[in-house]
Amino acid sequence: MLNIPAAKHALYQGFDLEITMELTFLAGNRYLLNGVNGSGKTSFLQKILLPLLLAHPERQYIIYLEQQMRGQFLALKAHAALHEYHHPLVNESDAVEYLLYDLGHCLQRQPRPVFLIIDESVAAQPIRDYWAEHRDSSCLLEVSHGEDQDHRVWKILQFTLAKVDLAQVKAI
Amino acid sequence: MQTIPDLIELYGKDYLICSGDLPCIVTGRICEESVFYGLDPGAESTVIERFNLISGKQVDCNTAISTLSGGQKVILMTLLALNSPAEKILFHNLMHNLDIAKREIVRQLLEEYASAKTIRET
Repeated sequence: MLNIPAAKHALYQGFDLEITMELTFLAGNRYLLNGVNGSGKTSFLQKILLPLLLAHPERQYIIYLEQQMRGQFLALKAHAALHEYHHPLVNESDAVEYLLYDLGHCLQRQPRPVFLIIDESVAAQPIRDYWAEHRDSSCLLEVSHGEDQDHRVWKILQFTLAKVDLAQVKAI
Repeated sequence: MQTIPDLIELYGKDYLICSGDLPCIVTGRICEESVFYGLDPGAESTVIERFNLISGKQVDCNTAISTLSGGQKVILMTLLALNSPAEKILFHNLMHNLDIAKREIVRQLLEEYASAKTIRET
């Protein structure tokens, strides 16, 4: 679905992120972005991964749950109201359900692979369930501190300060 | 799942409500965020000093909040609340965005201030 070449990226003044080897993201896999606070996980998503995906929006659908998704929730609430969605969106879980509902309509019109990205969202379980049911056509990336995940089924990208390595690859 | 409006309705009369889902209010500088918490200059210095110790970053009051990671914003929110004049503080979903080591540090911070303030978590 996507290749990111090895390179050093200047993300902010005084903060570079080095990708030490080419990263390949494939449908059927799920990837855990692991690392301490401030190691660059969200910056990797927002400054490197998402721009690459959005450069070719016709290639896939993207669901991206932000780390602190209050602003995203309000935008989705407005979107749902404009499209006369049958339930009011009261909280982030409703917003995720709405995203999956909208994705279903998009897939009916035009099938494409789906890139699912979760940045520590508290309302992420339906997205994980979607990936489990549609893994042939979807790829899941999840940022997590890892303590509550089953690492045996993840490909783990390990973030240390200013560096990301593909630390472990285990077959699903 | 409780929303921030739910918490305001339930606890807003008595508590300063701080949610890990929305840790910083402004998109500007740290000094602007501290205005919302009613910090005096001495308290603001304490917050910045302790934030730098915990996070390993070097920020000052003019640092843009957008340069902080999600977890760092939660740490900043916690320090601002604990050093504010508020006597009762409700922290909601405080630990979710923190790594294991930072959770322990934040837990110690809450214990440190527990004798001076009423602190509640949801």
